[in-house]
Amino acid sequence: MHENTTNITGQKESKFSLETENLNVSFSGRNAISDISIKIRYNSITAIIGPSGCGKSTFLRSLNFMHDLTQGSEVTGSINVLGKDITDYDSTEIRRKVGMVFQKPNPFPTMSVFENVIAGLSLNGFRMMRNKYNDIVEEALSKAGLWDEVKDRLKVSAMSLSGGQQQRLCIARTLAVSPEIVLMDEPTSALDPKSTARIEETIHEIKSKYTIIIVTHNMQQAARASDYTAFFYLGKLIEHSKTRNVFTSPKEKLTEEYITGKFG
Amino acid sequence: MEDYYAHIKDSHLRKRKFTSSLMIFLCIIAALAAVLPLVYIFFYTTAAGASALNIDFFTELPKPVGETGGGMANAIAGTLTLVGLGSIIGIPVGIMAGIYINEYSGNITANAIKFVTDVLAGVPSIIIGIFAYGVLVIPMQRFSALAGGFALGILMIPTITRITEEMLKLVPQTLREASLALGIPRWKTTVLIVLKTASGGIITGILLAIARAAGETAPLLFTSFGNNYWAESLDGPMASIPVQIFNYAISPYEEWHRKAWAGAFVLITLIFIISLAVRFVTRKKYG
Amino acid sequence: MFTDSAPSRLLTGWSFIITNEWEPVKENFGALSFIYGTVVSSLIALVIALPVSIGVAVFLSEIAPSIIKTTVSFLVEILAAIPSIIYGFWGIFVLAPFLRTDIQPVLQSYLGFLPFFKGNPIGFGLLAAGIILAIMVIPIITAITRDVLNAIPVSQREAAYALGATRWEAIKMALLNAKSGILGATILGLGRAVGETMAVTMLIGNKAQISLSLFEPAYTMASVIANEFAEASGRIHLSALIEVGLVLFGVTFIINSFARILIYSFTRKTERR
Repeated sequence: MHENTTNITGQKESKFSLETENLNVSFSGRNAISDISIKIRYNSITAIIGPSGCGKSTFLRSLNFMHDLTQGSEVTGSINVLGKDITDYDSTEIRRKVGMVFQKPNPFPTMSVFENVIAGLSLNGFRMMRNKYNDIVEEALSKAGLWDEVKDRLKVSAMSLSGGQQQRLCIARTLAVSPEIVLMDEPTSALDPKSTARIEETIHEIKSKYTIIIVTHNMQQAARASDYTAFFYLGKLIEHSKTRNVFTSPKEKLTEEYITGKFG
Repeated sequence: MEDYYAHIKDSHLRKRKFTSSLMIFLCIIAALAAVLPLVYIFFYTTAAGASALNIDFFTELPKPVGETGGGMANAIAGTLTLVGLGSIIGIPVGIMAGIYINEYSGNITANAIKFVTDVLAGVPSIIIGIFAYGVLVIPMQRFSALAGGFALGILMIPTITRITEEMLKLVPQTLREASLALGIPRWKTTVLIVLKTASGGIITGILLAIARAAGETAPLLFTSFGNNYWAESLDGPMASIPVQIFNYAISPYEEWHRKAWAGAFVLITLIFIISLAVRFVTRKKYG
Repeated sequence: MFTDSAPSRLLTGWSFIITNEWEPVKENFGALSFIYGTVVSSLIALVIALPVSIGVAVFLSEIAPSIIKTTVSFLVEILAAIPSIIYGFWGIFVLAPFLRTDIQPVLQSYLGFLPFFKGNPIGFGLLAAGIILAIMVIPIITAITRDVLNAIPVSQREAAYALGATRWEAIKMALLNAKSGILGATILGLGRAVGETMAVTMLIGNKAQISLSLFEPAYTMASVIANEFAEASGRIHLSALIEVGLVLFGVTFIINSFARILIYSFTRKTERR
């Protein structure tokens, strides 16, 4: 919504909003992911699939610096976000550029719907006129496909919404800080099929403006909702290609076995 | 095999069942025995205290022996002042220590602070009194309300720290992550999200600490001392309900005993109300 | 405190804790009788409080239906919240007279041949202090024991039942399992009893002597500080009292650290399971 336009135009010579090279993350000496090199295009949806414990979430969380919260974690290799190395950013700055939606809906329980959406701005000390806030809230909630359902209930506690609505509220909250990249860590795994479909729709609608990386357990979801798919296995990136290719003609045997349900 | 079981049934089962019932009966007796003194103390204090209670008790100064009437107004004001002073020290320090222990757990300083507050929780209150005496009374050369408030403040710290830590532990990690993922700095996350979410529980902890401080006597005996009149300033001696009860209780005068019961009744009512409120708030919040 | 007690420490050395002459006027300071009073009154408290507390804890965690459970827990919590001054006050006017007229004469007539029950039944003394302390530590031991019992997985009890155990036998298994936690709770209660000041000061009779009889008045470390500190008759006297405080602090510190370690290790053990 502001200031980012220059950034985007400045970096447009690269087609990739996010690049990692030989990325390793270990916890207390145990490797969780190793040697991940991946390039992710602007305004694409990339699904990350793989069996539990394969390092999907670890990978995702390294992209917005979440690992410095975990004791004993160590990150080596390089991550390039929007043309700049991740270590050149301040940790709060990177998290505003790279938003994250979590597995379980986690709205702030002490805040109303309205306050939740603007939490990222108000708590960061952005002061602006009330009606500017109103605009932002409406825009973010509309993008997340929630506006029509809650426009008359902006003042109620966020906890009074249903699970699916809460998750879309969390998406709106993430979008309100206008990130370039949105990470989603199994965003629908705690939701019923109907809410899941609604969220997938939302993801599809916002795709033109954001780079989205979504970790999912659900292979149908990956096939339905993504442009690219990356398959992780035991901490390694096995295959990364157009979703159609991965699901119809995988290059690697492991990938094929996984998507046909032989293991995982 | 079947014979073996039959044997057990015949000779042991009845005895085992009897033992079982007996022990369970004894446990119930124990529960009754534990509750009995409380009920007794409560009703005795109410009976002896309520009858001695009147408006004068809250508005008048103590009268010398032999004169009837008079009250504990100065002691009531004193207790409020001392607890207020204690809160100024105890609440911020306690909460900050709790935050530090929980949000930075695992680091050595946090563990050290946890250990220190745990030890502090077990230090007899009279020792805290000596400490306050050494730190404030000796340098100032006089008993003072400040020293009393200081002692009460230190006493409040472990209770508040413990409950803050426990309440923060209940705040789901995902909430912290959600806030951090929005690019909100860590300290703001802690104060505006985590602390706010846990505030209900922390307030109950503060109430408990206040209730405990209001009834403390030992550390006040030689810090705020006592005073039969209105305290002139915070750096002079100040009366308080518990110390006044103590002085009256060990005196030989019937009239003073009645006053002391009234004081005890006021204290116990205060504590009962706070406990009830705490119970109510915590039940509503955490099921 | 260490520096403030220096004059007394220099004057008396180790004899401070092994002699029992306490004569402030003659500057003769031996704290043994206070230590004795503290130890004995606390032990009486534990002997009474431990079985009762375990009983209540078992009642709360295993037996009581939920309404009674919340009520009794609440009452026990309040019991812990009542200021010690009120316990002491109640003790002076209710407990001590009751002991004097009803309990002590009976004990004396049946068990008077034992040294513990000799002497003048005046109510105030070690027994009264011990009983009031017991009432005060019951909530502490009960609360922790209950938590420790609750920490034991239900599956263990079910396993016991499935093997044909009676209710008490299943409870006994849980208790045995929880014994280090219960020990920790007891020691924590001991720490509280040792440091408790007001109620004891009001009931123990405040006489610096060592006597086997539980009916005799005595003195504890905390009480002597409470009684004499504000009116100490000079620098040495004051520093001797501070030294008493130092000893008391040391003792409670050791007791509490030990209890904490036991409780920590117990909870960690159950968490790992």
